[in-house]
Amino acid sequence: MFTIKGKTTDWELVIGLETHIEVLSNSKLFSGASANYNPTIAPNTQVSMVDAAMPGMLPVLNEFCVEQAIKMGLGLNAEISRKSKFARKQYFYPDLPQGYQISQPAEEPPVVGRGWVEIMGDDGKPKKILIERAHLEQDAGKLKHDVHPTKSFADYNRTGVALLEIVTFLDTKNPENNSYITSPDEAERYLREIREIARALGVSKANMEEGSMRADVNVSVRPVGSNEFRTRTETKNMVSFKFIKSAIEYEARRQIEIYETGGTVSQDTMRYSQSEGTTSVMRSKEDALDYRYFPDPDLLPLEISDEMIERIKQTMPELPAATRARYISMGLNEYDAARLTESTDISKWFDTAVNGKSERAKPIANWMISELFAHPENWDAKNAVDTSEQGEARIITPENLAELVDMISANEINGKQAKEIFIKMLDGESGTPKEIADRFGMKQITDTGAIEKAVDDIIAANPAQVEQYKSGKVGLLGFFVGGVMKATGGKANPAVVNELLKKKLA
Amino acid sequence: MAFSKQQLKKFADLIRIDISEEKLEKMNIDSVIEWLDKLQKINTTGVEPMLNPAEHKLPRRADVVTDGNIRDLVLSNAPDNAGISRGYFAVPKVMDE
Repeated sequence: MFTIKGKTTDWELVIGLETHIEVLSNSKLFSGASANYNPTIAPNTQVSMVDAAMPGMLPVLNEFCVEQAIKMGLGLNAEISRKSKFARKQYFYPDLPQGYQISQPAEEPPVVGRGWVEIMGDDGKPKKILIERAHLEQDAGKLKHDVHPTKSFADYNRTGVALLEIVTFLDTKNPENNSYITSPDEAERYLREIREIARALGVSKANMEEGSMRADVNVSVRPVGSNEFRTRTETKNMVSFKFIKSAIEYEARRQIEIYETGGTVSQDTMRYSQSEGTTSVMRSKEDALDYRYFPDPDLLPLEISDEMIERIKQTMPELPAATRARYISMGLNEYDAARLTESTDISKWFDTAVNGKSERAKPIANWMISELFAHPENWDAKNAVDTSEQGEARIITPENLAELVDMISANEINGKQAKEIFIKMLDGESGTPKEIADRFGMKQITDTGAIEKAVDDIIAANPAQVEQYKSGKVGLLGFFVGGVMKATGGKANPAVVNELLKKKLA
Repeated sequence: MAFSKQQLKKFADLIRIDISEEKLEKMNIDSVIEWLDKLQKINTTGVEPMLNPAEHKLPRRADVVTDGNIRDLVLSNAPDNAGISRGYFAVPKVMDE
């Protein structure tokens, strides 16, 4: 469990996340303007009179955005509300010309209700993180402050693009269930899981660097072992895993210091400084905004039929949790399964390599996790699978790794030789593992006669060591194995060598 | 239930209505509040809120781009033309939020 050592006691963390993902759609949530707002597009060209909030303009709901929300809801194992409302969340800031954001009411179930996602907990075991809700709302525009000396410039291309805000649930009635995030690492794994689900479903690019995924982080602390929930603070608009983890830890330490010096934590809204790695109060509890939610009179309740949900269910691809379960049934452990489902690109790569032969699963997983993951520069999961892109840059393909693994299990090469072939491939050696093995004369000697001769030679040449071995120093076996391997140029089958040596030294 | 001057000031601030001190002084919304109090007394337990008197369902659009690309038209409504030549709405300088 993640704890922070204080002066008086050890502390644990309770973390809640509000994650915004930008919904992939052609047009905006309530207008027919394009939802493509990328920075290369000229400002205010993707803006309709609805987005500019001209009087008399009416929002009309984009049905596909609702489907996307339902898809994500199903991916979060959540209840889908058959009826939900749109509400106005009032705030005055020039990034949203309406003077309010169309969102869903804070006090009623939005389109996506209670659900859960599974992540790997800090103890290496699967952990369910409860979701309270996910609601549809409008994104805001972008302001430029550095163009004009006395004015800010507003670009409303992003205004009105659909966002889905996913909120974790703090089950305060059942704290012992441990169904919430309790460490910076778990926060990262949760966000990555949300990202992978969204990507697998095609609901969002969920890319923090591009701003299509952002998070608000709620943090509170408590003494280890206590089940209480103390006052939380909220740090807004976090845009990288690294900053989120740093903000959580800094904020937790700040609160611990307050408690340990006899103070109380106030429910403030914080801002995070990327350059300092610190949090500071942006808005105190007293100044908290009053959003005055009320039902949007321009929009009737959103009704969703069972048929619509059923139809969307039929289109759902395999989700990361199901992929993990499938890998475990193929004989992988939970850790391996979690690593291989960190992205759909990785799991596709693995599936391509295994190609339905489950006996390959474990060795391929081992090679991927211990070797490929250590060489990200030589291995781009996406390009490795998608043969249409960057053919030259693909150094290790799933087919190559599968062939290598098959050669080991067929006793054609030993592990040491496989490693050599692997390194040659990383270095850009052309050809398949079989071709490389042939080119460099790497073939495992399984012919017992040849190995037996090498074994006999070693035993004859080292009478002193033989004497020690026989008197109980069995650790010397490695010495003999090494000698035989050296004599055979590393080509002998180590299993055969071991067996023969033990027999002859007995 | 009556409202103090401070409360009225707070409400005015919330909805960004600039009301002078004198006006606030003279302002009396007690009759409105009384009427709202009366409404509050009606027992609505089990009655679903009516959001719209119309019977029809929420209209929905297909996900097709049918609008936008009207920058000049959109910007022609801008109250401040300082940003128009660059394609932006100009607003008072704001930082943070």
